[in-house]
Amino acid sequence: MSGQPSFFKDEDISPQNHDVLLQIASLIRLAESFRLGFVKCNQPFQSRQMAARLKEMLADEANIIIVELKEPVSSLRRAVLQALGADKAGYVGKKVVMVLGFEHSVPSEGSAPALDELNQSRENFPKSFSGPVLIWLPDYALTRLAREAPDFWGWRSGVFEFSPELKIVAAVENLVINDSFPDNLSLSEKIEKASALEGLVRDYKELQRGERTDRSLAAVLHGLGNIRYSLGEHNEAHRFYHESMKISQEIGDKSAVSKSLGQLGNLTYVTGDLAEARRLYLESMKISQELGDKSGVSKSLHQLGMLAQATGDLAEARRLYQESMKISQELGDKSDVSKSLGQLGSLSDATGDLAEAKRLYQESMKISQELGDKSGVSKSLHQLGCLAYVTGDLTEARRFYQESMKISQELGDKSGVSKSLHQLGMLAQATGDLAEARRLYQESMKISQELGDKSGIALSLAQVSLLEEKEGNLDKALELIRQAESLFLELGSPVAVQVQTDRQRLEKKIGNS
Amino acid sequence: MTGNHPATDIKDAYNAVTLDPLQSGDPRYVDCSPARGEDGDIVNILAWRIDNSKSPLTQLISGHRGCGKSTELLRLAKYLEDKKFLVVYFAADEDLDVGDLVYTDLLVAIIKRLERGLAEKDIHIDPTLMTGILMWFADVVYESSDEKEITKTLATEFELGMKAPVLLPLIAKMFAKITGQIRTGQKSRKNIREKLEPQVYQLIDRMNEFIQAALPEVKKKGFRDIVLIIDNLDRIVLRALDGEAGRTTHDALYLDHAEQLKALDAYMIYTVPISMFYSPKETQLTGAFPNYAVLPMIKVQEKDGKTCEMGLDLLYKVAKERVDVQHLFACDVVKHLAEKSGGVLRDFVRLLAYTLELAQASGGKIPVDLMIAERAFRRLVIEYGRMVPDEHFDLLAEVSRHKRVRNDAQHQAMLYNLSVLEYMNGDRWCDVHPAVRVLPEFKDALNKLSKPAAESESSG
Repeated sequence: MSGQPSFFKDEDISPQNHDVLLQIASLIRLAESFRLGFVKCNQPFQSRQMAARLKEMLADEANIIIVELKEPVSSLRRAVLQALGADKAGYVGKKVVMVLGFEHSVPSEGSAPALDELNQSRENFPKSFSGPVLIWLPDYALTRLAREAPDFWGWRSGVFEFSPELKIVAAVENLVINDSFPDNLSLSEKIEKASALEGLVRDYKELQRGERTDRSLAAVLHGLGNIRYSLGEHNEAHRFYHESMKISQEIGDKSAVSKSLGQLGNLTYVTGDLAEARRLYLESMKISQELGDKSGVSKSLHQLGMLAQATGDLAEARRLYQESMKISQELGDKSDVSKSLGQLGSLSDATGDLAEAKRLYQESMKISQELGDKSGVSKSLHQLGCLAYVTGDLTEARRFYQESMKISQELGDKSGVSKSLHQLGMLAQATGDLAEARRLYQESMKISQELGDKSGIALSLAQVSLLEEKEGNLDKALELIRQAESLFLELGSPVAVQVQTDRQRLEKKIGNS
Repeated sequence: MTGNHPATDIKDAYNAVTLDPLQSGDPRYVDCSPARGEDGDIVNILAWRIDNSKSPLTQLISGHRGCGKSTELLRLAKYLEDKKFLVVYFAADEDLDVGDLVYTDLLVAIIKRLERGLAEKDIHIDPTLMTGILMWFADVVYESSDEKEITKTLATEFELGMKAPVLLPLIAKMFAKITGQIRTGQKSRKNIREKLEPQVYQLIDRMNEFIQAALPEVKKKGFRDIVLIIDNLDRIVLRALDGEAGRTTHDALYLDHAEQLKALDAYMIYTVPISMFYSPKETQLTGAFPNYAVLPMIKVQEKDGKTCEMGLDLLYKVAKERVDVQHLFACDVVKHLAEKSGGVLRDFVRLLAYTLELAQASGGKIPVDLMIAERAFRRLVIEYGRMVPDEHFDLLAEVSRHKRVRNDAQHQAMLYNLSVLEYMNGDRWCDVHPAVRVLPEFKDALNKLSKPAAESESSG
């Protein structure tokens, strides 16, 4: 996923796109002062390739500087100037600036303040740039710009439109679909991958539809769902999984449907609708069984195990994990084995067999390390931290939590970060630093709220309630514990029972005072 | 760069057809007003009102994006200067954030520009009065009544790396500081507004004191009066405001604060977004500002669809002033492009540039023939296709049939993005931009419209 792909050769450029290259080259050759041009190109890989090609074509005639924005900006002009600032040495001869990646500032829906800013900044462009500026955007973003920044768009000196290139589409498909650990990518890699996939989706929509493209489209949408999911953008993820599943159903690709159902189940699980999650998991498993897809069955069993565990049925959970693990072992799927081991560890943990839990966690982590599965390692570290905390080894616990959080941050895994923060809060509370504890809980809760993770919110509420009680704010404490209790009840979580006793204790205390 | 020597080779020609407005006195200027219809000569209209009014007068001017408004306003400035008026012209977006602008921001920008305009003409005002005004601002905005302290702060602030020259008089530094803070700082902007808003009548009094003190000096220099032209104010971003439903940033400035905009003792010309003239609040606007003018498009066709030769000839002249038309373009090509531009100057110039660029891309082949002209036009068509949302096509078909627009938000948007153009002869009438007329979606909508209602799907 990194670096400039070298799979695309000059002779692969379609005649149509070659014409577009010549037109852009003409603008650059002719213009002696500022000109504003737009280039439509859906696929970031293609944009990079074409921009580099132009730079090569015009090497003797113009100094082309390519600026690629990697994240949203509030002002396109300022961001480009800033990027150019680092590159002042290159200012000789006619300067041409190509801006890639502004689409990160133009979401497909919702407000786009960067476009408002752009709409008012045309006057400043000729003051900042002495030669042509070409802004490269995918189709949807260019349309939004034309409609929402009309004063800026009104000054265009050309709009150049590249068509999708089948070879690039195929190459990007290979790059992005065959990715063993999507969870493992760093935050910036995830964003880059997401924009490559989104580019593919747009290219598919421009290309002739057929079963092959439909199948790929479904796979790409599923991949997009996975990235959004791992970034904690649950609504987006839900939309992509659904769209993917719809296409798979249309073309009768049952295996893909089963996968979508599983992921939709996971999303539903996080937001606490356990009955619906169960329905989705069972439906997914049924399809896998029909297809003889053992790996799919194993995954469903694992997910059903998590459900059983969440509702307190530990024996059933153990049975399901073991069954799932058996299949994974047969298939040689180490990654899934590692996951089962981790969950079995947490069961031992819950039943008080701490030595066994530790052994299982360590075994799981070892496999993850061998596989290079960072996300798995982070989870194991977290669990080992919890274990150390329970056994009273607070220094060790802190070390594990911090190490786990560091990995989660690298991976852009918000849910993991939120969990680490919560645990660090418990540590601070245990050592008497209540202010710090409160800060950490609140930070953790903020992320849970963003993710719609009710269980996370409830945990934070319950902890903050304890803090309020300690500080003598009994009414406030009661209010918080009631909120936590109702969330846990809604989730059907066994924790509800414990919270209930806390609540009753508080009510009694208030009654006595 | 090319002056009035029309460019002969492709590269010079390409660089001669830029979209920037012409400065007044540019030899390439072509007076297109005859083809704009009866109200087309806005320079004359606005100047006549100033010339014939005994007391200061506030006027509004509006027009489509890229129809030549700034060029005309710069020409008006020159014309009034020749008639011995002291003219201060400025573009609002240079001093203000048009994305977030309230009327007190504008008033401060006006006095800042006025002070500079007078100083440039070597007109100086009684120092005691200037100090009074300076201290009023110091007191209201910065809550400081210590003259020495203010003098010192302003002096040091401007020595420490501010761009303004050190020689600037104190009051100019003060205005520069306030407008700078309004323009850039979110917090300071809010703070300054909260302080000026309750004092707005006093602010206007101070501004008028300033103008009244300047007038005798202005007249001593041989000027008749002061005229302020505020261009690009029509770029203020249209946004719904909280509170009263349907109220927008445009309403807040031009309707809610019309009295304040009219309260200055100078001849004022403000630019207004054209969409306001097509909103339900049009009567309220023209009631508050009875002296207004809307610059119509250059007519390239008549209401009945016949070509308007006068408009085509004038646009041909616009091209001829910039490039060697006979050498670079085959016969009829320029007029063909003029027709396809719908009379939008900016689109016309854009089409000229597109043809030159396409000619260059195909090996520098001149003269540019009709085939290349058609390719250039196809490009414009695709660009308009991007701008027009699907839900507009049915309405656009109606406009093309009835040559009229309704005063509602969707038609405002259509005028705003130039998919509908407004012309003038005797009466105002509208038509759909030629680039939109060939879009398949538009043709479908038109077909649907011409079918008898009984056959149409949406009958009833």
